Amino acid sequence: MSRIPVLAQELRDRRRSLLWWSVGVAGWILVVSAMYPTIRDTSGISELVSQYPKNILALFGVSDMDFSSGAGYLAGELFGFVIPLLVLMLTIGAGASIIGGAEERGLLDLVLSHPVRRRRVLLESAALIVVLALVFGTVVLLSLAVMDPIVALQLSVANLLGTVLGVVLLGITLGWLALVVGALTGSRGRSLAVTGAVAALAYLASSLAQLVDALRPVRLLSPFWYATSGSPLVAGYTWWYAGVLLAMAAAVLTVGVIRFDRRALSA
Amino acid sequence: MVVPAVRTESLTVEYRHGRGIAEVSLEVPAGEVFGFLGPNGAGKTTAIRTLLDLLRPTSGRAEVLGHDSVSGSLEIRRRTGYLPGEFALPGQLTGRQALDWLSSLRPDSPPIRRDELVERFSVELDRPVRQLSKGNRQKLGLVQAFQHDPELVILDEPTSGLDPLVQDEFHRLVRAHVGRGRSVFLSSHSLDEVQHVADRVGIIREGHLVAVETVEVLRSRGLRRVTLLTTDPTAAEARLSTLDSVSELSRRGDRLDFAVSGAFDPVIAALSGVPVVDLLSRAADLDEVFLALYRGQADPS
Repeated sequence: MSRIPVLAQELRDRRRSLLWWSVGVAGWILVVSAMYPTIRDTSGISELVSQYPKNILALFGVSDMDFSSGAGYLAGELFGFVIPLLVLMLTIGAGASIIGGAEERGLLDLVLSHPVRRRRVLLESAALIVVLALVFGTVVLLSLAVMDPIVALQLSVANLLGTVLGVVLLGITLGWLALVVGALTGSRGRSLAVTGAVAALAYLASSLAQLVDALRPVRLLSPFWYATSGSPLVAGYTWWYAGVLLAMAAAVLTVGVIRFDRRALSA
Repeated sequence: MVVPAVRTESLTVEYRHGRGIAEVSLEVPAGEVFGFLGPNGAGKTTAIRTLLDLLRPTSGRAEVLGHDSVSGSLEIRRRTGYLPGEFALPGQLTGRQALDWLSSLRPDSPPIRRDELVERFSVELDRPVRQLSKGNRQKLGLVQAFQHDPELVILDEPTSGLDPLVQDEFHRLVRAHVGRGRSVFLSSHSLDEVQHVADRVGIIREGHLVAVETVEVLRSRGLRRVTLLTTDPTAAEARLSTLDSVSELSRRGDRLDFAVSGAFDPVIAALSGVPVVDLLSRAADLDEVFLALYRGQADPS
């Protein structure tokens, strides 16, 4: 018998979709990295890209587009925008539906009429989101580990680990936010809307802060700043940022535990 | 002193947008079937969900099996079974997987009665829940509420969607459950149903508990609507109109419609000798019963 019986059901539901999600992510990474040698060797692309307006590049999460190294190429093509977007679709989608969606479908009432503490339901759900984010991170790592020798990406192991750690923690932080908003509103849709808006604003705050001085203080509130800023695949991840992300995630979850315990559930 | 199955003291639950329940005080001794009767939206579900700590009282308190509904909720939920008014299960599970999943949430209470209940209600266990009819899903709901043989079963509109034969089987199940000293608290909007199965009935209206009566009292004072087909409507009308217990008598061709409150035998006696073609009697709807029961007292307006 599962050790987290409340969610045994959720896990079973998500296994197949997680598998396909992983296949898709791995495929995307393989294709993008396989194009690297061509792009590196095509004269002019780097020069062309370097002439892009800085604010356009910043919108895509890159400070300097540098296609002459594998790390620079992947930072621009994958880790600036696509990979964070994919992890968030996975964790926010799950976070919004696990409790908020269960309440909408009338399942939460039934589960909580059993001798199960609300806190436990919330914490098990949080653990499930961690699992999803870790599976995602592992797929990214493995895909790049396979491609690195084939197309000579010459990635630094430490930088890659740091970059993926940032992405995984970003997924956990916003996934937990979606979980908590769903648990406190009883609505999957509201959770998706709120968390989606927070994610978009946080992304803009982090990426545009490089250009707009007025935004510089705000970026310090953005989880993206602590996860993806400064091209960690090239320059190395600022490891203590992981602690900030963990603290943000823990704060969100703590609020959730306290408030969810007292909330009136909708029938 | 024996601990009551359910006891509430001035239990009040307010919602932001009105409704809810106000000052509900009642006591259900162990070993009783208590029927909670009221129209939809009267507050039955609110009261029931408060007993299980799905809602919190705004004021007042509730005790279930001797435990406070808030501080003792885990213990309450360990020892009760519950069928929600809108019973839902993950659609892709089979009935068996769904029951296993719910049992796994009660590691201390094995589903000792499951096989017997499954057989009794001919429950479909091997098909995905989403393919089941409303009635077959509701049967699964009954099985999960009773399968661990809990001390108290709380059922919100348990017979909705069940066909009459299954309803009868359900009534026997409920009677047998309390026959072994256990308790059942159920809600219904059907007077007929609670009269069949309950020992006592609490009538709730617009959030207020307006009366708690034994079923005998309800029966003796209850209101029934009668339709009589006769070949001699003039004689029948003349005889019925002499009875105090008959009201709202109207005649259309050879058909008479009227209401009877209280005992039925005076009506039968009055009709002896009148050629009766057909006689149909049914319980009046709740509002009528309420008015018949409490006309002149406790004016709700």
